[in-house]
Amino acid sequence: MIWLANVKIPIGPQHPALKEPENFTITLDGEKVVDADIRIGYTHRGIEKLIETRNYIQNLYLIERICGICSFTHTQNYVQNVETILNIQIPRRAEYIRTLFLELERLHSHLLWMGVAGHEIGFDTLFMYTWQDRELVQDILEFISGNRVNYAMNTIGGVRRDISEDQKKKILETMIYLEKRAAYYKEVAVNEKTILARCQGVGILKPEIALKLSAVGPTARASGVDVDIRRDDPHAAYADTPFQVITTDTCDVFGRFVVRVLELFESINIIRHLMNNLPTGEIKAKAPRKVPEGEAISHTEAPRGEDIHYLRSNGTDKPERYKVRTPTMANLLSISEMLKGTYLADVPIIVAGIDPCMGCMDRVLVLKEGKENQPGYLLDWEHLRRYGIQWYAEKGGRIQ
Amino acid sequence: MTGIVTWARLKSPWILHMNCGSCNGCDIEILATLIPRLDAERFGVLLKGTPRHADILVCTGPVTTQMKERLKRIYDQMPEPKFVVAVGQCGSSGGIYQGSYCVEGGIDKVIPVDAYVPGCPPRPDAIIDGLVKLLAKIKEGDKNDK
Amino acid sequence: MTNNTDEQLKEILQQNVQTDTTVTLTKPHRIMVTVARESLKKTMNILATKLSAQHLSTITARDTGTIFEILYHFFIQGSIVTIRTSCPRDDPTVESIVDIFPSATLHEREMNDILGIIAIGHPDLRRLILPEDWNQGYPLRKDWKPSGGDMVG
Ligand code: SF4
Repeated sequence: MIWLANVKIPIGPQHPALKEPENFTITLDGEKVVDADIRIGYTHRGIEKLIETRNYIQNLYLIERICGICSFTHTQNYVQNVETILNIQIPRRAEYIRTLFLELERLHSHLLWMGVAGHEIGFDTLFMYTWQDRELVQDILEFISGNRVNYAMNTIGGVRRDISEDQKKKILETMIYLEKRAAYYKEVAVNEKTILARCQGVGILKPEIALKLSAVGPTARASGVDVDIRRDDPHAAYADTPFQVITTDTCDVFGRFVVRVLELFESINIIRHLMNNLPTGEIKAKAPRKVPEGEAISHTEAPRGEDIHYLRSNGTDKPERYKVRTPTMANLLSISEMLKGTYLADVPIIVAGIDPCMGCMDRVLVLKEGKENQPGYLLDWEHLRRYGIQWYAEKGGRIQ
Repeated sequence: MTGIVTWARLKSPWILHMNCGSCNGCDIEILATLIPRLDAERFGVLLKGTPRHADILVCTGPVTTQMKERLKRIYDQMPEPKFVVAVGQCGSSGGIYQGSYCVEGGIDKVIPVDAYVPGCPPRPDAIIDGLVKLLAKIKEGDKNDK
Repeated sequence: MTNNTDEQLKEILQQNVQTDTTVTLTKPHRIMVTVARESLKKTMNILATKLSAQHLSTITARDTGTIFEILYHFFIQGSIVTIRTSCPRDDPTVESIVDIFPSATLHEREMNDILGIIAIGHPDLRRLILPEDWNQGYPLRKDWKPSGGDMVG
C-alpha cells in the first residue's frame, strides 16, 4: 500500500527575512517515510530588505528580532561586521560580557530544547523540569540587561550595560545550582527508558552525509563531525577561554541529546572562567554613525550551529546589502535525509532533534494517494505527536 | 444553559497558540506561562492543538503574507463565541517589521482582536494578566447580555 | 585533516586557479577569491579536490545596480573562503554547483527567489521563501518597488 502524505509542519522563525514555519511534504510507504521535501517561507518577513532601509543603530534592534531565542548571536555577528569595516578595537571587558551572553544564551536554549524534545516524546515532566531551570538563566539575563528575550545588550563598539559585583556573585551562585541540575539531566538522559526507547537509533545522519550537506552545530557534532566555530575561528573572548568541543558518534537523536547535555557543563565552565577573569576597564568604544564603504563576513557559533552574516556598506548610514544564514537553514537538508526510512511516529522527534525553535504548531495534512488531492485525514502537529507516543506505547508498552 | 457554558468557559478557557511570523520571542514567553513558576493552568488555561477545541486564539507576529490565509482559516474553524488575543508589539501593530513587503502589520488587519498585550516580548506575567483581563471582560459582557 | 594557515591556503589557491582570478587576504581568516563567471565551476572543483572543501556556509547574491554579484562562502580549515563571481543584469545566470556541493540546493533556490538569478543545471528551482502566488518581481533588486508604494523606513 502506498500512501502519499503531505505533512505540514511550520517550525518557528529562526531565519530573518526567510524561512519558517516550514512545510514538509512527506511521502509514506505504509508507515515508513520514503521521501521528505521542504517548503519554507511562512515567516518570511522581508528583514533583509528592511535592513537596507534603516540606519545602523536601528538595525541593531531589527537584527535582534530575527530570532527570539538566539537574539544575541545575531547582533553579535552584526556588530562584528560593522566593527570590522569601521576598524575599531573594542575593550576587553566588552568582549568578555559579550561572550558571557553568548554562553547564557546557549544554556537557556539547550534547556529549552530538552524540554521541547521531552514534550515531543510524551515526557512532559522533563519539559517542566528544564523550563523551570531555564527561568534561572532568564533571571540572570533580566538582572543584567533588563529584558528576558531581546536584551539589547550589544551596540556598535561594545556593550550597553556593565556587570556589577553583585551581578557577578549571583551569576556564580546560579551556576553552582545549574551544574547540579545538569548532572541530573545527564543521569536522566542515559538512564531514562523513555528517552532511550524513543531516541536511540532514530534519525540517523551519517558523518559523510552530515559533511556533504553542511550540517552545523550539535546536529553535526552528534554525527561525529568535529566542528565548532568557537574553537575553529574564535570570536569575542573565546580565544582565551578553555573549553572542549563535544562530539559523539551515535549519529542519532540520542546523540544530539547527549551533546547538548554535555555542552551545558562546558557553558557553565566558560561562564565561571569569564566571571573569574573579567578584565576591568571601559565597556564601549566610540563609533561613528556613518560606515565607510566595505564588506565583512562574520560567523558565530549559535546554540544551533554556525550563524553567518554578510554586510556590504556603501559609505552612508544604511547598509547596502545584508545577508543572514541561520543554523536551522543549514540543517534543513539534513532533516530530509534523516527522515528517509523512518516511521511516521518518529517524525516529531527527528524534526525537533535539530532544534528548529518549535515554538508553534500547525496542521499536518496527510493525503491519501488515488483520491485526487482529497485530504485522507487532517493531522496537526499535536495529533502527530500523540500518534507517535501512542504508536510506541502499543508497540513496546514501554512508554507512559 | 448558556450560564453553564459561560461558567465553564470562564473557569477553563482553552487556548490555541498560533505563530503568524513572529520572531519566536513571544511564543517562548507564552510557553513559559505554563511552567511551574507561573502555572497558567491554575486559571484552567489549557493549551490546545486544534482550533476546533479552542475558545481563545493567542496570536503572535506581524502576520506574513503567507500566514494571512492560514490565520483566517484557523479563525473560521474555531467555534463561536471566540476571542482573540494579540501578543507582542508585532501582533498589535506590526512592530519592528512595519513597512516590509511581506507583512500585513498586526493581527487586527486580518481578524478582529479582543485584547492586546504589548511588549517585545511581554513578560509571561503580562500575558497571563492579559488573559485574565479578557476573561473579566467576557464576564462583564455576559452580565450585560442578560 | 591538514591544518593550513591562512597564508598556506592562499598559496594553494593561487597556484591552482586560472589567470583571470585574484586571491586576497582581507583580514585574518577571510580569503576572497574573485573569478570570472566562466571559470566558476573549475574553481569549485579545485576547492573540492585540492582543499577537500565540504562546508558551504551560504551563498550571498547582491545587486550592485549595474551587475549581480554572487558570493559563495566556504568554511575551510578555520578560514572563510569566499568565491566571488558576477553576472550581467540582462543575463542573470550562473552555473549551478549542486553537483559538487549538494548543500547549495536551498541557497540557489533562494537566490532565484529574491533576486531572480538562475542557477543553470539546478535540478529543481521551485519557489522557496516567497509566497506561492508571488508575482511582484524580485524584492532584493535595487530597482524594485513594492506595489503599494514606498517602504516605510
Ligand atoms: S513582539 Fe517582539 S518578541 Fe514578540 S514576536 Fe514581535 S519582535 Fe518578537
